[in-house]
Amino acid sequence: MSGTTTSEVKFSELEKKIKRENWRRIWFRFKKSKLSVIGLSMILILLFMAVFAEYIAPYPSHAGLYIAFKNAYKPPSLEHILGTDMYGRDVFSRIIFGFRYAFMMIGLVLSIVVPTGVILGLIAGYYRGTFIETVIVRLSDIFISLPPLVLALSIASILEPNIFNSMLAVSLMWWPWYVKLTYSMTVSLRNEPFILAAESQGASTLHILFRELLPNELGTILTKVTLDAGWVILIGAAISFVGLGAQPPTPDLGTMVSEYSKYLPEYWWMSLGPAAGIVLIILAFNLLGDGIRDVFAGE
Amino acid sequence: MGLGRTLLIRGLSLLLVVFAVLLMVVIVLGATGVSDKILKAYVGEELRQIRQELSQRIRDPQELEKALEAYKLDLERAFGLDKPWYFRLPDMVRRVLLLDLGTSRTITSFSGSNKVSDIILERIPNTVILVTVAVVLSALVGISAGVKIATRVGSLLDRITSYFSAVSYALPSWWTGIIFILIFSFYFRLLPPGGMYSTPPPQEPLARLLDLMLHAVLPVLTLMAAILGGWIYVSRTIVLNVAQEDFVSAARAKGLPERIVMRRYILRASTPPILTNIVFGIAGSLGGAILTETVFRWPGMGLLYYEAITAFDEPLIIALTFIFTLIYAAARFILEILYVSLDPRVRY
Repeated sequence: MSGTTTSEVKFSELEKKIKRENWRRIWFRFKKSKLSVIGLSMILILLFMAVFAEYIAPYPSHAGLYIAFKNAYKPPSLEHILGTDMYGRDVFSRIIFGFRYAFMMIGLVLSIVVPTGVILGLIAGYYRGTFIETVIVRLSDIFISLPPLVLALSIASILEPNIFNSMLAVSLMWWPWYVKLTYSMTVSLRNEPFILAAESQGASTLHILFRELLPNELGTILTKVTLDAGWVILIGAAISFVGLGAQPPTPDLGTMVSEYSKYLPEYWWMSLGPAAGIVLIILAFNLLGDGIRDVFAGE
Repeated sequence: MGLGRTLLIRGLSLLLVVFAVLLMVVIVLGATGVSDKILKAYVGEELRQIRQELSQRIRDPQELEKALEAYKLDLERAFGLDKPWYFRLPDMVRRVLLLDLGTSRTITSFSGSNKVSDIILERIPNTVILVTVAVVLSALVGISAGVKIATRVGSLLDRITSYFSAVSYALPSWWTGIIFILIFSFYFRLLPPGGMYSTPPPQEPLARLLDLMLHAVLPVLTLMAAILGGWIYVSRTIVLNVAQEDFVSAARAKGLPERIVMRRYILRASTPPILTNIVFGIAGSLGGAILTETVFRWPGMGLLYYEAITAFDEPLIIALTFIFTLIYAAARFILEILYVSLDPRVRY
């Protein structure tokens, strides 16, 4: 009896060791490209700034409604690195709070879109040839046949304009792309020997979907998630530009650019800062996505 | 399956999808109560005008209220507000399908008509000009640059272009447009900041065309800046993937000159997947047209969509969503034909 326990202990230790080794390999492949490491560290820094915005921003009270007309329209200086806006608010502080909304948007949209799309795609691919597949695939076809921004804007236009509804609008246009991706991968994996083996051993459908199929598709899905993070920000910014997104004085980056671009060209620093913030965050996610793709492409 | 039959099936299924989209939009607007809310607001607006007119003629306040109540009931019946929203559904779908798009609430066409079909018809060519020129130009530039770079991976040129495409992908196109206006129209005073023609527009056809081209430069550049990077990147990846296939090595092993290997083996096989990407290019440009046209006041469907959203003109929003989808579906169908005729391996 004691023999089986030790072998079990040894086995779990071995498993842990293999896992650690796998992670080390992934990290090794990832850090080969300098750009992806830069992307990852950029995201970590931005995330840190977003979480601790109250402590990092030089003027945390300027994020929302705050008026000090005597400081208005100040160009960049030591006191205000990126200048002040028409109400005398520090633009740099507002951008730091803007990162918070950007990460919130990415997190919320992707956490709605990815599970929905992936689960539907897995089911549709696994039940190939049944009416479940037809319903799911046709439904996502309908959503895909609308130009993405048109769909997002028409949804946002019937909802009340605020940041959560614009996230909802982006999510509604996004999920079918994950269905498509997971569906096509599942269909091609469906008849592989390891699935047949699991089926013949009597594994449950849930086990096959989530323990056999999903781990094999995770790399591609993860790559798409990171590359899509930038798109989420762009579409969100477009919705804000049209005036259907977050409303001022919310320090959302897209809202800020569209609000401040009315003061171009004299007060160029106002919209330049938030726009650079958008570019920075999208660039960081794209670099990271390229790195992740290289990691999984090598396998 | 024959080629004709394949295309027929694809065409029919696309039409079905377009119909489903339309149905969905109408149902969503109805079920969320938005449609009711807008119609009621519209009736309220109408009543206020009638009250003003009536108060000129009817002096007795009680009499006035009674007359107004009668008007209100009439109006509500005319808009179908006395019944739940799904009773209005079949009528609405039938009308859009027959392209009888009804009348807009506030926005009118340039000639003053408030029929939705009139408004949209005079805008369609403007958007088509803009999007086609931008897509064709960026496809030409993007594909040739991508192919060129794919032959010298890792060179300085390769790295510069990949940085460029990374940044071009990350910039919000409407902000690029604003910056372009600032640089080229306000600072250098080279190009007009917006619109389609100067005021007053030139009468001679040649001068008119030249004027149009001058106005189109910045919007087209803005649209291209947003999609060109993606084009270069995608064609580079596709050509690289094809170049690693066995049949390319076989062609080289046969001793064929590199020029022929490139043209007959690599490019021939890369064309279909590159074509598929045109679909995404068109989708992106149609969406991008909304933003670009708004920034440059280009009087196309995108600007109209923006105006319809800000004025909440429900019939116009429904009609435009429908037309955008229709154009998109038509573009997909044309590409499907091209794809099937270019790649003999594809037969459904």
